[in-house]
Amino acid sequence: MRILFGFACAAALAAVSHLSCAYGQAAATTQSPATRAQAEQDPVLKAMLVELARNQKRLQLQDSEKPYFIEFRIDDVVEYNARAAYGALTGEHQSHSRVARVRVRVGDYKFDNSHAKVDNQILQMLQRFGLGGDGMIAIEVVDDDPVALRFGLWNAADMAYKMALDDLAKKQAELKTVQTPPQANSFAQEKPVIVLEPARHLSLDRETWKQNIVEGSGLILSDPAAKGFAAEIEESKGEVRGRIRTEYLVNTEGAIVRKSYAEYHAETSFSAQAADGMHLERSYPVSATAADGLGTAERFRTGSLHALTGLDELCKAPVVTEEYHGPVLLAGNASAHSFEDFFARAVEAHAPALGSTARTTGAYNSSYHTRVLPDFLTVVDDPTLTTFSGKELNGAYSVDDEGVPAQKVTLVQDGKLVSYLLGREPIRDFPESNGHGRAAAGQAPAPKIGVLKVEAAEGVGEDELEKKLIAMGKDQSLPHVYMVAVLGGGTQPRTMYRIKVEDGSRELVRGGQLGDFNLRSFRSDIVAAGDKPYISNLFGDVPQTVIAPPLLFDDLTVKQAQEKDARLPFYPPPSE
Amino acid sequence: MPKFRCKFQILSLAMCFSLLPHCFTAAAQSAPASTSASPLLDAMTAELSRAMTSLSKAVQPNQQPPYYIGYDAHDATRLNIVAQQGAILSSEENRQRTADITVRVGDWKVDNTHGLHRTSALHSIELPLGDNRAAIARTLWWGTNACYGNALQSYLKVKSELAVQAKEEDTSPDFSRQDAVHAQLAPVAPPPLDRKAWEERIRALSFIFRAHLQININMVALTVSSVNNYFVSSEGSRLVYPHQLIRIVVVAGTRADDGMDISLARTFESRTERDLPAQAELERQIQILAGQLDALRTAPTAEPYNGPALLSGRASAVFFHEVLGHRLEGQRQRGNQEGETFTKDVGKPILPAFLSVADDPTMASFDGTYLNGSYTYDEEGQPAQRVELVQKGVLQQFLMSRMPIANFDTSNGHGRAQMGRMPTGRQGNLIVTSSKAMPEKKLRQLLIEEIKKQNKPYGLYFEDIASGYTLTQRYTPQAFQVIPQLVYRVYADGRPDELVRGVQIVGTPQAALKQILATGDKPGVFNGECGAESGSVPVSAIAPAMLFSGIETQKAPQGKARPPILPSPTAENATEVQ
Repeated sequence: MRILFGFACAAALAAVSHLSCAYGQAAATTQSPATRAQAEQDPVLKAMLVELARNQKRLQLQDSEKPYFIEFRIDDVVEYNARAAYGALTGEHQSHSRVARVRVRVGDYKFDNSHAKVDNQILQMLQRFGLGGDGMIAIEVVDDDPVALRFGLWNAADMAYKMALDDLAKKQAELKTVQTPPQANSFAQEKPVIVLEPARHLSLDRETWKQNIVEGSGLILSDPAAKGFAAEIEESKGEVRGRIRTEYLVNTEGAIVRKSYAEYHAETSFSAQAADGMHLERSYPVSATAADGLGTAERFRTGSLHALTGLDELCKAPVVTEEYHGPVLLAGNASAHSFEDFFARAVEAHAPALGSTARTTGAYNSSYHTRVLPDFLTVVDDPTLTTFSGKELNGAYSVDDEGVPAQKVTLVQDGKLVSYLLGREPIRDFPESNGHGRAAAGQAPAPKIGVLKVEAAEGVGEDELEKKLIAMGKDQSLPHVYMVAVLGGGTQPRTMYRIKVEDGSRELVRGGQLGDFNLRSFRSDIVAAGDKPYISNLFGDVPQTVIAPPLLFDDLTVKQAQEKDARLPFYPPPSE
Repeated sequence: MPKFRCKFQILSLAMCFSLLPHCFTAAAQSAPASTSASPLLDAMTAELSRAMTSLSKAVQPNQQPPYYIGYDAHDATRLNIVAQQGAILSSEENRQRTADITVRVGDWKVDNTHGLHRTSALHSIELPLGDNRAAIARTLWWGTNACYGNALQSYLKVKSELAVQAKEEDTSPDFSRQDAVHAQLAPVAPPPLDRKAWEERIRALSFIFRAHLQININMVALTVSSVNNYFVSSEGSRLVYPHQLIRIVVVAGTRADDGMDISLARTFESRTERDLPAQAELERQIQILAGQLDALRTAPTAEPYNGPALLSGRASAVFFHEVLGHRLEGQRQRGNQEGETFTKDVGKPILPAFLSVADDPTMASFDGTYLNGSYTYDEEGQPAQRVELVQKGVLQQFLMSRMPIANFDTSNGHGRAQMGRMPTGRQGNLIVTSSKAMPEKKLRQLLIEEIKKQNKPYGLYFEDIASGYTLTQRYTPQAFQVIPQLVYRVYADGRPDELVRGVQIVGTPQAALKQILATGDKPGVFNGECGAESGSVPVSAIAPAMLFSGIETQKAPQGKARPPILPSPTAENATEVQ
């Protein structure tokens, strides 16, 4: 679940930034390092430490080995949301929950129970939900009652330990069936840190925001600007939510972490069908790490109305019918989105299956030290970067979800892949974590980007980039070229313009899709970059930021999206 | 298709509790408020009428208009508090208005729900919480549009399937004709509750388990639900009626040294807070449950058995719900997938002549015990009715929704479903009565005589049964299985009864039901949740204790994991390890 920060409705608006947030989210603690004694003043951490000590000392089955590593993590989530439709509130809900995730490892750092092959279908399914392997989850009490808190941890640790013993035996047996020994250790040993950030509290002016989403979702019935097309709007919804995740982590190496993350989000969304039946939608989302970052009621209303009129415009826009091969400009939003969709996954380090000689499992598994981007691009991931161009970066953090301090990692230097993102699962040549082991609440950690920054050596201005795009079209004798302003998921543009080569005039189009757009396009087709990076803050359980400049691709395909056009409504909406 | 037709259980999911209809007598006391307008009901009525009119005007080829539209809205306020080991796991309040939209295309005889397309008539939506009429109308429009689209598509499929398939055995219509129903009972406001005080009470109840160190799973949950239902249909029905329920569920589990997981559950239901057992009584009941669980953990495991057995009233009630009740649900008598065990037996004996069975959802309580399966109107807007299913052993009729079957062409108010599911004939309060009743002491003597007669070392006494399931489809054996919670060996030689664990009752309905020799004179009540294709619905079953000449049991499946290695943290002095 990710929410794009900023505007997603129109290119013109996408340029207006709403990223100003007054409060630092992940500011690195600069005070003197926290101590265990301080940690023990927190009732949750205290209960975790007591139960951890007891398990470390005594969790052992007769004739079996003791765990060499135990980790307790408790995610405390407070969530509020309200929903509206057609100008009326449809729901409101607040919840508070805690889930514990317990990792127990047997064996040693070199070879342990993790990633044992699972042949049972039910276990495979559980693993997809983040269970099994080296972890077990338990629903925890929300009262700070030490005995009840320890009860959940005790149960989960017991199950995790028994499962770990079983898995280690399976993995040892499996090892005998393969020729190539593991290319790296099972688990990286890390220096323990103690980090105690204050727990945050939900602060949202609920009445105001309920009113805002009620009004925003009711614009189709109330605003004169919508009168002309209100009957064509099918769904008109609003939602606001706030969420605090406070994470508590302790492990037998001595790490103690408390960190807290806030997220506020409000959105109006509208859907309609064009006359040919094509489903179209527009939304106006705002997100922030502090409630006042969501902006004023007036701005929310204006943005919502803009999305609504934008939807009407889109419904009337011509459809992409003829397939196109040629230059395509990805504006900052689209460029950042494509890096998140394609590139981010390829640089995550995952140990390959036992017996494999591969370095990792992703698309870049054999690309170490080879060129993956044009030589004028360099990419780093730096979770310690808390602001950029005066804007707060949502993906920043000081310590990851395995208790490892965040580190700046250069992933691509002058076009060449030089590193991967690592959690505590090593791969060949990368024996240690670089502080990118990140986890959603209750889920297993895995390497993920924090603040991914794409830097262009010879960036050019926006106008120049567009001129270049048009010139390339002219060279290829094309009647028009394309510019993607906002990219939805994967290859589906939300906002795309057709630019006439003759006079540079723009026309909004719908129903188009990028074809043959993949990592190969990143390696071979990028010919120029802009000089003004776009900041895309991605909210969700593992918050991330991508900073990328606009990119000009010399050869992409734009084609008609293969979607079924549904029937228009069988009868008109009520005429009120 | 799901393999298991029914699962009768105390709770379907740890955190998912069903609503429970308001008791009939109390509802009837509310003055019919035809004058007091309900903006929601008015908006639903107006939009339904507009939909019927607009859609009958549509004149595209192959676009049949709907012949029936129904809106069924539930305005529900719920409070859920769950505790474990003496602390709160979650405490949430929630209000939601949802509506099930039903659209039927074709005609009464053949429509879009024919055969396996039952669910094509239904679409669920979330409605605005307030009285904003324009928003309510627009939401209903969009939902109805989607529902009609599905119904239309399904109707075309039905038509083409009927054209190529062999003639069906039961050619009953797809929808019964019923009179419009009008009733506007006063909506109820959610009961004022002291949430903090309830959190404290649930915490305290859950705290009892701390003293039971071997119980490593425990949960105490409170659900307070207050629902107002609003129903309108194109037949002209207009209904407003409330449901209220307050329920406490206790579940606990332990693991025997041999790896067998054992769990017990107990529920307490009432319509109002006032009618719940006092805290001291709840505590006492939980103490008993915890004690039983401790005893079960070390009890010997049972061996497969076939011989005389005595079922307590509660156990017999669950047994009848499972073994007989489900097979008397109307829709199971129709279609070439169903086993149709009793379909052709109307007018014939299917039980010993001393037994009669009825289902009476209009009964709000029995002997002071609140009945979970009571309701005033079913999910098709039909008034609840008492139905005599079996009289003096002879089958009379079935539990009917608005889906007709051969010889039964109307509903008898048993079309039930959870929100979002298509209603089918379901049980409400199943009541078994006997004319061969005797004091339970006598029944026990008869059991011992029967054990001796059959030359068995012991018989079985089933004190409590919590759940079970029944297979009713043709490609599975027509078998049932019920999961007892408390089972004792009763020795003929006068030794005390011996608690055993790991028992499951298995059998086939026709054989099992004929083995009943006599019954007790004190009915037992079981309140629970029943799950089947139309979802989870609250039910009750009432029956006297019963003596069976033969009951077959099998071993329960057993895990192999060991009990926890470390003692529960409760047992440890926290300062011991530092």
